[in-house]
Amino acid sequence: MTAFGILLAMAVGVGLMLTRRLPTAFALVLLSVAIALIAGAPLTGEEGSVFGTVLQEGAPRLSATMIAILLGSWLGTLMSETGIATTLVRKIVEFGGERPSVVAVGVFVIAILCGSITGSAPAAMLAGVVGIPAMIAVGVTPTVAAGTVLVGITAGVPLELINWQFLSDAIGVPVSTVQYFQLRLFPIALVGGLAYILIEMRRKGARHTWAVRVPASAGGGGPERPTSRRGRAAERRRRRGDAPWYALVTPLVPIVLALGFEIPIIPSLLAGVVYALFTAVPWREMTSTALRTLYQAFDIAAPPIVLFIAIGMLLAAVGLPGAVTALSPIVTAISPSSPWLFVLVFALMVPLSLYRGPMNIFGLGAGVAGVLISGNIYPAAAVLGLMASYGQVLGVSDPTSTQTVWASQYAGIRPERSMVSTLPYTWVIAIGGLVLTVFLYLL
Amino acid sequence: MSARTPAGGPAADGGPPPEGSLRAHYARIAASSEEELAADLLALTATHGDRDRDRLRDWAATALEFGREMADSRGDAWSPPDIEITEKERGGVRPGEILLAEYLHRGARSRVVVYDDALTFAGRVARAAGWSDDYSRATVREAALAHEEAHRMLHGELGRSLRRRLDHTALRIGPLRVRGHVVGADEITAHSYARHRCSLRRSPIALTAAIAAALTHRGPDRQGPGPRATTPGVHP
Repeated sequence: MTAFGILLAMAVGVGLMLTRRLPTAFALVLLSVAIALIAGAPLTGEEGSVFGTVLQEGAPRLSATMIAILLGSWLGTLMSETGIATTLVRKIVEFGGERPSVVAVGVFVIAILCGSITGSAPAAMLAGVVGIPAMIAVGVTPTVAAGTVLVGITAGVPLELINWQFLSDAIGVPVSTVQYFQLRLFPIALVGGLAYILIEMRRKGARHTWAVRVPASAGGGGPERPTSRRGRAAERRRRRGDAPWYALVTPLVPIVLALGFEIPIIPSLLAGVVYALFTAVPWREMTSTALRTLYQAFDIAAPPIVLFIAIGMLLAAVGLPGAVTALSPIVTAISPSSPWLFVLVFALMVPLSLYRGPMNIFGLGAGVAGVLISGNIYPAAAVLGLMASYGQVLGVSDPTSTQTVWASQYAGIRPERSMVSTLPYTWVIAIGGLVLTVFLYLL
Repeated sequence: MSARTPAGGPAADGGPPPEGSLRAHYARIAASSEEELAADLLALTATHGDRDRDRLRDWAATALEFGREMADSRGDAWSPPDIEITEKERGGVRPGEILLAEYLHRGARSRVVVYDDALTFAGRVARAAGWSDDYSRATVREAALAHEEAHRMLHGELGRSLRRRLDHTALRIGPLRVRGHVVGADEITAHSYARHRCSLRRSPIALTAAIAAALTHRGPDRQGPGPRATTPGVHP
């Protein structure tokens, strides 16, 4: 009965998120409290209570991830403000020239770098603000242009230090375990992304138009004094020109330090920030730029941080003894025990990670992962593989993901069109991830 | 007259247009040189956001000249391009976007699609701007076909010639110099080709700017993600 109540609460939670009656974070907090109460947790008390365990201890559970997100956002803001990302994309377009496939592959590589620094819409913007219109201008169709940025930033996710920290915190495995799996998932995502670009470019061909869109700044005419933050940032970039060549390796700094020198995630990201400041910002403007971009990073990092506070609570709730006891028999019964059945069943469940569905790790999927681990259904590392594989699908194809919405609309298409275009490829990538999981952890 | 005129048409009292009105925009466009309008177009491209204006003007002038030479080299009188042409009644007028024509190149199979509703819209804009004599609906259609024909021609050796003519240095290491592609230059060239190939008195770039002004005046894109840069390619 308890299990039925929890599953019903989860279904209601998914409904609230799907219908957008409640923001995901708020729905997850309510769901956490509901699960805890249904599982018989007392309101107060030091052990296993709603206030103490779920809200008080759950909220900061992913705190290391939150700091990493803030630093990643800071670095992303700096890359945008100093023109590092723009310069990278512009150089790719200039070198790629009139060959749309070459330009698209170049932007894909830049998007991987951006995706390895920060996630979601900010990463898509870093690569896409210049990359998407540039690709369209050289003849890439809008659908493929948006898809290229999306498969790029998501192929960068296995290298993203923030993602390592998140999966480590959420699933409860060491960062080294996450790193081990993600580095093996990366080639699969890389090949899948390249296949998307090359096959779709061949299928859709090149497209040139005589078309007119609403200009960015209404009014046109002569030079105007920029009043918006974005306008002022563009003005500063204009004064500085291209970022110097040695600043262009900024996105590689954190990943090289973390992988090559085994430096922890937060110092690696901080080193990236310092490197960008020293190489791309004039000495006199350094402190003011550092502070301004840090404050801007808080704006960018706010939505994911709020989400991770809620996910921490959800993980605490599904880890309560009452919830584990109630859910374990059901989850055990429906979870495939054979390794290849694991691949088949979870491959068929890929669409459940879309539309904020129950297998979305940045939502209820975190709770599902918690149940799978606390019920000892699969080893934690296998759950990591499962969720990381699903992450490849929702990072690209989910029409409700902020990066998908942004990239699609910026290219002038509907997010659902991006989903249709990319899903066959991301589904295959996810299956590749599931097979990898079986080989690494279930055989 | 049943045809819808874009908002902000000629003032009823015949007095001077208010600053910032659509009519003032049309007047400014009419008074601008083709080179300035082409440089404006390049400046709106995301990759050229922080380029020096003189540099953009130079590129614009080179691209315009290249398009004129392409048209002159044809010698013969204007005729529709030897390529599959598809006419579509609808689909060219979209929220925040007017798509007059597109050239789709897929292996050996290429075609041009022309959108009737967008041609009609462009004709109305031309009328509102007082350019009816320059841009009838049929003239806009011819210009659109010639524009896409130019894109087709630029896919081969001519594209590389344009790149050489623009002579933009993307990388220099000692004596080694790598020429870079100038995004948007092909659009300027295509417009220039269309103008000279169809013997148009007024540049299609002016018509393009007028349509952009009309779209801006109509209000923001209700469907899109908010303002975005106009770029050659998606843009004229």
